[in-house]
Amino acid sequence: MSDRLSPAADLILKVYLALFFVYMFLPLIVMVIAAFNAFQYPALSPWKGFTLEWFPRLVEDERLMGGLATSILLGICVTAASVPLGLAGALIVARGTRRTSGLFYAMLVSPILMPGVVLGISTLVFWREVGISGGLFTAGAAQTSFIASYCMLMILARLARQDPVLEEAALDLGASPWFVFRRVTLPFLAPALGSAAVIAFLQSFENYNTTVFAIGSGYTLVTEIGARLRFGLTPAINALGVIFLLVTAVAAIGFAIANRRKPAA
Amino acid sequence: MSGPSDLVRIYGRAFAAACWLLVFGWFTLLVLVPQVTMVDQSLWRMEQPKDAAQLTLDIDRLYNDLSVMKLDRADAPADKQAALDARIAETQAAIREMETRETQPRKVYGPENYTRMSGLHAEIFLRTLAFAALTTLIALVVCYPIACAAAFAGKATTTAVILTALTIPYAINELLRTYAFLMVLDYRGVINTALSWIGIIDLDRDQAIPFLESQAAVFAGLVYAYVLFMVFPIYNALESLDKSQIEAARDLGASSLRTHWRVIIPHAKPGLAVGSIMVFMLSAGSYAVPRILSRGLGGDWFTQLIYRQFFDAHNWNIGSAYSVALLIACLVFVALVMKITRVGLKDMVR
Amino acid sequence: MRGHEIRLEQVCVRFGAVTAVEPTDLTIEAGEFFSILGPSGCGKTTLLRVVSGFLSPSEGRVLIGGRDLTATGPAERPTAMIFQSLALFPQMTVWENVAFGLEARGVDKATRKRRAEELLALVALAEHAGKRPSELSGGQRQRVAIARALAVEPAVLLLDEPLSALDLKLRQHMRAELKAIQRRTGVTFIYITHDQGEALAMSDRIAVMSKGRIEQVATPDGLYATPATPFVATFVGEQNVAEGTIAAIDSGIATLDTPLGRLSGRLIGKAAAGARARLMVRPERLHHAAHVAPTPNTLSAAFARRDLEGPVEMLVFDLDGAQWSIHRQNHGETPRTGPVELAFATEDAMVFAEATP
Repeated sequence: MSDRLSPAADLILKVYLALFFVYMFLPLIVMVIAAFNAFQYPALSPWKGFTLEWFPRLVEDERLMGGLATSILLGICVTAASVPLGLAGALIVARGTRRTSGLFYAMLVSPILMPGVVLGISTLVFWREVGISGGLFTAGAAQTSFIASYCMLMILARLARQDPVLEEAALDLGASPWFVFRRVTLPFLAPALGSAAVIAFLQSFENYNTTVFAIGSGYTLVTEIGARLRFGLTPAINALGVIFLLVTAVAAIGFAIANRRKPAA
Repeated sequence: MSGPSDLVRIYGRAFAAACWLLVFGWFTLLVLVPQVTMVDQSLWRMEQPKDAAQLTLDIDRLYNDLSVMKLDRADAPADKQAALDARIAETQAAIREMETRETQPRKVYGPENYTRMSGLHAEIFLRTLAFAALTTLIALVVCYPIACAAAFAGKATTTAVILTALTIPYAINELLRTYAFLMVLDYRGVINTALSWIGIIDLDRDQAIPFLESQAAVFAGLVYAYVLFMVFPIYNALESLDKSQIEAARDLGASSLRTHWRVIIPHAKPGLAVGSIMVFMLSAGSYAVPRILSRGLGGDWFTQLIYRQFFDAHNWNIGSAYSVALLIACLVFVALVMKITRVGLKDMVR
Repeated sequence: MRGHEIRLEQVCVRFGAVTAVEPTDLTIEAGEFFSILGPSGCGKTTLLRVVSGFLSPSEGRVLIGGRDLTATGPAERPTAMIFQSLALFPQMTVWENVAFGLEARGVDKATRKRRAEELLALVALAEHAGKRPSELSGGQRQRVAIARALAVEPAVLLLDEPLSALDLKLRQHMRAELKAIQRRTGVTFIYITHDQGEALAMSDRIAVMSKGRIEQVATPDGLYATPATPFVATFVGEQNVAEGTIAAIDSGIATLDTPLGRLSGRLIGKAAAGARARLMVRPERLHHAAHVAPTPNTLSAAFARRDLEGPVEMLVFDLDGAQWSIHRQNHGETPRTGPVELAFATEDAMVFAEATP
């Protein structure tokens, strides 16, 4: 932006950028500060003094801890289902004939183009017909329906960068199909499978709109937070926000540094 | 080309079959059949039988007959009693059958779940879509310069810093991001606190301005919560632009505006399309933001309406119908964006 | 000799309505360096994929070493392929790449490693065994691909334009190296290329393909000196061409009436007087009339330009509506412009009659 723009335009853009960052970060900063206010309602004023008392409250809260355990369990299950489904979908799309490839791509990407609440509702409605009411299973099914699509896209992007004759070369050298998959395809896809698994877990862990409809009487950490954000607000939620923000920031900065170290291969 | 797909040729039949099976299960069990069931559910309702009133009259008449028969039986000689007993039993069976018909509703197919959407609900539906569209428009205008600033920063470090800084508010949980925004608008939020410091209002005498009770609060929250979903797709599209194209346009004497219009925006189109679809869908389908940011008479968001149909009113048929309506609205929006920008599905998701 | 003989019997490949390879009979001798030369899209890669087993022919049989392997997949055939992109496995080291075929056959690691080291020594890459393919130069990667293919001890090595990604100097060096490896191992090589220089330099025999058909199979010298069809004559080397009508045929010599005058040459194939025909003379067989014995084939021309190609030079002349050229040793100066007489010997010209419809 520096060498192409006139000084005036450059200044305007910089001010705009700064304002945008203030807009994005100010609410988060307020949330963080309020987490350390001894006042029993989450606010900056009146300031009743610095305290850390809201953090231990989280650990003592059985429902939050129970939700956390559920979220982790659900995340693992959804990841375990989504990555293989995404891999199968990606292989069918990338290695199919031209006609089937386009059709399957459209079909398997479609869940991403639907609102999350609709995915949750349709899953809830369908499984009740079969006799399974809303719970962890339906929440997992609803999440998997679209998280597998994200996994597929990530794996497809990696497959697109593979030399198309790599696997033929392996076959020609006498490898069996399974050996080709295990020794050539899988190692090549490993980085994409790894990031797909991370993204799948995070998507599942963070999901609210789909889960809140599909989970019935069950709850995850995030739906439990959702339940508390309307009535009976306490600074404990701010403390939770501080933890989420810290984890997110560390992950984002760590990712950025790791990306810079890696040569652009 | 004919012959088996590369999948079979390379990995063999067994492996290909496993892939097909997984994908078939995914698409049918998790996507297609649930959607079809939901549409089906939205098309029927349980209805009281149309002849319920007549049935009630008939039942009353039979009860009269029954009491008459019972009186008759008490007076009747022993040899006639058996015949009367049989008639009484017969009548009682008839009553039972008619009574179940009277109270048992029937499953009736029809478009009523949609057409009976009341004026208020239709208004909420349209308002939701309008606000979502407006949110999308605002996000487009706000984010395009940000994405350009990140993509054309010149130095790799500047780009990395801008992107990382944007990632933090983008990646933090949607609920907590919205909650942070609540901290600004709340009764004891940043704005009210600031106003009380200036002395315009007194918080301790309940003079706080109730921002949360207006629909604008939800709208502002949607913009705050989803605006960043526009930045990253645009940035991704711009990143692949050969920067010398911009220099060439400049060199050929194009103004800054013309360069954007003729070179940069056409290249960013897939990103603009993806960003618009994401922001619109997230806003129209958001349950988190209106749930957290609306108080009192602020009015409902369509997703809240759907939630109440399912979990408060227990009318799953109407709930399904509303959900289908939302789905259709979003798919229409996707189709519209794809048509306007002439961006295909494959170009979009890369 | 380890190499196998390959026989294609009436092999034909069709993709829907398109015929990629017309019914073809071809025999490649055991231990031969055999090239298939043709422009892109002529069907040569399709033919190679039939031999490798990646593609089943629509009709016909493929015999390798006397066994019918038409229905056998690539993994079970005694062939190994070197791909145009080389297809080295990026996440494996050089020696793991070379040993891949052995690993697929369940050979134990110590044996694999020893065998890979032997082969890497053969291609002079012993010290690079632990590197990744991406750390090697283009020529080194090329040699890894060869070692990897040889590791499975194939009877036939199939090479699909493997040198096309290299620069000119390296390409010329690799020609000699490929030829040497072929001699040392005795494996039958089938080499696909569109570069006549490569084919002429390395091959024992060459098949020239065009539009799904093999036009001619011959030694490099035979191909150059006595092309069987006008396509081969013009595709391999260069030709000065004159079109005309056959005026007379006498003991294998055809005389043509052309816009450039009455010219004679050896008639290739059969034709009758009155037929349309093309007369071709290679540029190195065309001379200034003053420098050669008198011949009936003389042409009036005007010198147009000189293209210097290092040790040789190309002189281009304007004739009546055509341009002909002389290829000769570098004389170190540009001739004066002006009219000049050109000539060629009758036995140096070839006449191809146009196929009668």
